[in-house]
Amino acid sequence: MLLHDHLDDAVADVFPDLPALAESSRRRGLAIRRRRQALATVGATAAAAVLAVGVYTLAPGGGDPARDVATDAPVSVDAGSLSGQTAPITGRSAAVALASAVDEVADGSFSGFQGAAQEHEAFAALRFLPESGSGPAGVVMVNVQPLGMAGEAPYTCAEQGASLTDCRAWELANGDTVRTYRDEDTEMGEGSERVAVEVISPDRRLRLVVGAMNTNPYAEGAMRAVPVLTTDQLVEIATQPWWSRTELPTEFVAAGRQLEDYTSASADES
Amino acid sequence: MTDLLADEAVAVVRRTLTFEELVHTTGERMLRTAVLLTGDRQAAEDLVQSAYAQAFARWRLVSRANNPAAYTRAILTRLFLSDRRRKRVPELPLLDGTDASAPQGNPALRVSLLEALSTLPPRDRAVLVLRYFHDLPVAEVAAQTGLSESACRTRSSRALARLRTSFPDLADES
Repeated sequence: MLLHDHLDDAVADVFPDLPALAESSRRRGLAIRRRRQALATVGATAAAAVLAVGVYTLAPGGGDPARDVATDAPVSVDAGSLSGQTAPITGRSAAVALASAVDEVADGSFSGFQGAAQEHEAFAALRFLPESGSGPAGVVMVNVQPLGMAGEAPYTCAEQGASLTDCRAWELANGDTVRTYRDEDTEMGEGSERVAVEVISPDRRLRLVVGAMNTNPYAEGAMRAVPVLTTDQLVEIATQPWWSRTELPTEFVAAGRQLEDYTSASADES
Repeated sequence: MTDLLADEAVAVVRRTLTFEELVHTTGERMLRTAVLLTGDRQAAEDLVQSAYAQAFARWRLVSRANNPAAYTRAILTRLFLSDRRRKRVPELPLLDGTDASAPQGNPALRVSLLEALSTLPPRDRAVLVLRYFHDLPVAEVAAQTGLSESACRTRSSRALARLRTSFPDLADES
């Protein structure tokens, strides 16, 4: 007798009450969502032990590798809870927005938030440790910039540099252009790799770039086999409709004020 | 319902898949999987509820997955293998004994197979259940259990050998 048949036979009399299962699971799922939101509001205290001290772009290779021990910090905001109201963008809110967008498309934990916002652009970065795969956390970053940073239309792959490969570009129904590419420069050591997605939005006068790496500055040269997010996941993140150079949903801004494990990359924000 | 049928059923309703549809389409198979993994119906109910709860909490992600049923099964496997999973009593009883059709085969044999499975390390149990109950390819079993493919094959062979001490008629799987 095959093991498959033995196993089938062993549980042949097991039947769930499906409506009850759906109802109880939904209730527990809602509790998980509420807990995430509540913890985001009070500031992700679970992440308090992790404190980044450098700016990714300024201090590669520095820091304590122990900081790569990511937490289950619930720092994101459920997209379904957004009210539609917005407030001026800050580095903190950009970091929360990025974490929330990542949380929508991937399972994992966050640490080492950074951000900066100036008059016409904002930047945020974080370390993301996926639940699957092995290796260190990878840096995920976002830049929201003026449209002019994208160069002149049409936005194609023609002007991409030699280190940028696998470039693809296409236009969305709303007139935005999505451009994806892989960046194999060795900014964080031999073998470091970044996948990036740009959304160029003439209507919003916006160029948005999100990227994900296979390592981080504190990983002491350790690399994952691939970046911590795929191109498809980055496209999902970059095409969230609420991205803007100047405003973000108020829920992100509020959660950003409470965000711990955060380092400002601008001189006038703490 | 076989995995193939369950996955096809999910695919059919893919465009408008709701959480309730996912549970109704896959719940029976998920609970049976959980019973094989835990060897205990109450623990299995809790495991399945936890898996669906996590799926609901990330419904946007799950519903957009290529295969929401497989995604939820992966959550269940991960929860089972996770030491961090909370032990708690399920909120509602899920087993509906009154609807259960008469099982085929020898009841004593069924019990002893569950007992034999329960003597295996959890990861070996997960490998066998995913490989032989769900008929998943080794690569997918390896990915879901956090093992390399070679380690997965080794564990599978070792676990099968142990089961054969209790079930000598266990045939080689093709």
